[in-house]
Amino acid sequence: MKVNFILNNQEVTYEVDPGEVLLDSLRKNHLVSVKRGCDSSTCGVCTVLLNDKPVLSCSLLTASIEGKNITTVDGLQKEIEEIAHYFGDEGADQCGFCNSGLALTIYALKKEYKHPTDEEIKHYVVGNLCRCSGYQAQFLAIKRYLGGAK
Amino acid sequence: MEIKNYARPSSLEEAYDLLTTSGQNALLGGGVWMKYANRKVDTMIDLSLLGLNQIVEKKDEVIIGAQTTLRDLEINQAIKNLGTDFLSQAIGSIVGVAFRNVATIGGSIAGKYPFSDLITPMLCLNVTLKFFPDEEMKLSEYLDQKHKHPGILTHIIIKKTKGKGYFKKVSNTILDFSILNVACYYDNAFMIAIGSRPAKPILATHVMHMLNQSSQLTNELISSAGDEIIKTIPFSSDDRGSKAYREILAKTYVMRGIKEVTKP
Repeated sequence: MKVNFILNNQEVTYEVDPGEVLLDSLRKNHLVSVKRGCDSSTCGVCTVLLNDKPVLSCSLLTASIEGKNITTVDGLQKEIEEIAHYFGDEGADQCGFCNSGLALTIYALKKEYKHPTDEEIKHYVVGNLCRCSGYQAQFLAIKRYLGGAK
Repeated sequence: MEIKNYARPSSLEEAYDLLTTSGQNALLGGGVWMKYANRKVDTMIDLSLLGLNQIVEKKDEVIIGAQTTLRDLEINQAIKNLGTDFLSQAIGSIVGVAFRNVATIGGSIAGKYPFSDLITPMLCLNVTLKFFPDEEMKLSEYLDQKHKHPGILTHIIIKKTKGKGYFKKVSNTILDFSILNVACYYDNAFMIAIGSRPAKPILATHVMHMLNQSSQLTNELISSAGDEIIKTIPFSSDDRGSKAYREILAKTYVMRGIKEVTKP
């Protein structure tokens, strides 16, 4: 079946199986910035934005996104680069595998909350697991990004 | 799960016709647990064009469309106002935001998932389920049904009350399934529900009756309520926790819940 949607501000049409999930569709079409982690609706590595809200692409049927907006880090290069600078400054990076999903979640958090509390930040990003760096440096980087500190 | 065809009907009538045409057709909720289902679906029916993703607050009730995501539910002010935020907190304990932006309330209820952190607190509230074409039933009644309901769950209606609620999820990590969950609610009468036993969530009717019949809430009565939970609610073991562990958790958190919801 054909599915029409907006991918990173461009109209696209994908030919998919009705049971295919968005993660597979995107990666088949060379959007490999979207990573496959647990593949069981938990780790957040495969996060993309659906109409500006973070969703797990491993758990979303591609057929269900007809006419909707999908954003990956490829469509937000300037904003993601800014987040990456804060992560680099705080030493919050190691392998980087979780970064694209986490960066999109943080970007969505900034759009949803004007001045989030520490608890609100933690609650929002808790679904994005990192297996190597721990969370303190990431948390500091997120706080600096949200606060606009340089 | 194998899906042969995908349909997006433009009316409930059309969706119902499709659903009843074949036993191999199915309704799409959020779809987050779909990949674990070992079944073949002829036509997957997507209800997203039917406007079932709204939350409407009325004077005495909150009406929730079945396609409302758990995240929209969690941050809705009318839902936050129910039972001093206990329902929103329970929903907020379900995996992460990106998961809750996909999972729907209708899918969570229709799935009757035993580990559900949504169903347990909802059992403590006055919740009615509305099905197309024309049926309403209480949530507890729906959970007790052995057969698959033939209709389409369209709305979940929660009567507003001014009570106080408590919810506790016990899990190995925040993102894990509950080993056990407990909800208590007090609004001139106690409601207590226990889920992930690991069987489906149920009301602790015996203990509720015991508490509601008593004229005074004493520490002895609360302690007896904890003992009676173990005697009257069936618990068992699975890979997440043993029967004995669940019994200790249930006793502890039911007692804490009773104290919490009766605090001035």
